[in-house]
Amino acid sequence: MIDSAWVCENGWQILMLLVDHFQLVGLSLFIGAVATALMVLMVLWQPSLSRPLTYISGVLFTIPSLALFIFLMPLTGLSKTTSIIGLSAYSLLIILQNALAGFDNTPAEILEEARAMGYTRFQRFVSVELPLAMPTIVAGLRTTAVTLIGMVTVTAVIGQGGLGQLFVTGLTLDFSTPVIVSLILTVAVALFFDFAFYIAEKYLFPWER
Amino acid sequence: MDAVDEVLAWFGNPVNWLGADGILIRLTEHFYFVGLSFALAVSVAFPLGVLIANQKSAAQIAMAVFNVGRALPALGVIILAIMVVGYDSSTVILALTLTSIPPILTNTIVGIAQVDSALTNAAAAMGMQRCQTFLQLELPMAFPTIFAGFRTALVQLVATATIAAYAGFGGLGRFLIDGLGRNDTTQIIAGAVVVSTVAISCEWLSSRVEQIISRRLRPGENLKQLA
Repeated sequence: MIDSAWVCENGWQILMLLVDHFQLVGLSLFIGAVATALMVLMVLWQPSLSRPLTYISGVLFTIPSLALFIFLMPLTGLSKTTSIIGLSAYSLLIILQNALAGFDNTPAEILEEARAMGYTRFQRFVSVELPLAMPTIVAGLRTTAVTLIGMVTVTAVIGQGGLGQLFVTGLTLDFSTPVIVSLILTVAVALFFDFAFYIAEKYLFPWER
Repeated sequence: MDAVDEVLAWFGNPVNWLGADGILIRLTEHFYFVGLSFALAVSVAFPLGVLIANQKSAAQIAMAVFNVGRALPALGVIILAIMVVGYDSSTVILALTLTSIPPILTNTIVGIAQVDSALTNAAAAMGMQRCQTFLQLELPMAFPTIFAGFRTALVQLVATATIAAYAGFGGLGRFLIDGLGRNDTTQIIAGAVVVSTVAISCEWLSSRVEQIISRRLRPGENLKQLA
């Protein structure tokens, strides 16, 4: 089923696409996380913003990825920027929902105690709320990373796509090897990210589970 | 704002709605793909989830496999399925079904597994049959989580069926793929608007359905009404 000669011949190109894939996922996840952090700060400052912000990220998440990339094309063309903006937009909902749930689940008594101990609002946020919400936030990042890894391949249709480009190669050549190689590597990347987060969670929050 | 005018003009042209490859035909094709694969995925994943939800190790393995399965790119699965099984619309339906099994299965397992065991034990102590416990206790309690899985699968299917056009099949994705091929920006954007509208409407409709069903199912709600 796999033509190993093709794999050897194109090994370098496959490696480059793999690097590309990592880059697209990593950058989008980072930008998504920073944007969500800003949204969370807005919600902490003005709790009534939580609904509209969740709603907006929900709508962005619902728009089929291909359509979202196409809406961006008149602005940024067939570029890496288009895929990164689109993918970051996708990451907002899951990260935001998890982060908000994390902050919401902080028991009220703990917040009271922090105030009673003389913490300022800022101190309370940094040394009480954030550490308690962190496991939920990281779980959100983990889910998002795995989701993005699959979604990156859709950008192959607009000439990007990391490993997704191998699907295009396979389809045009009517040749299954590139498609299988790409599927295997995509799942491997997903396993890698999932495992990395698992280790990070175990190390950072040993009290969980 | 020429682009906006052109897109509006595209929508104003009845050919684009009713023609041989107009919105109506494409929408029908799209719903055919989505509807059939959704029904298949539910009929496989839901009973399977119910069966293994209470078997801890099986459930854990299934969860681990399908969590990573979410990363499996639909585009690749569709293309590979075409190469292996053959170029036919049933192949697309098979591939779409495969990609929508994970959310339904994992949510069914999580929903049922998170029902408080004190409650199931109480049900058993009251002499409820296994099947009664399932229908009257576990299913209503797990419903929100299970239905959330259905919704995710459905919305995801609407998006994935768009990608099927890339492999040469019908559906709303045709506007996007053909537009890209011909470099017809107006058609691409109009197509993206149609696809997004359909996806958002599906999401909205299913959230309404969820509200209606959960109002009926929640035993607590009925009690509140009685009091």
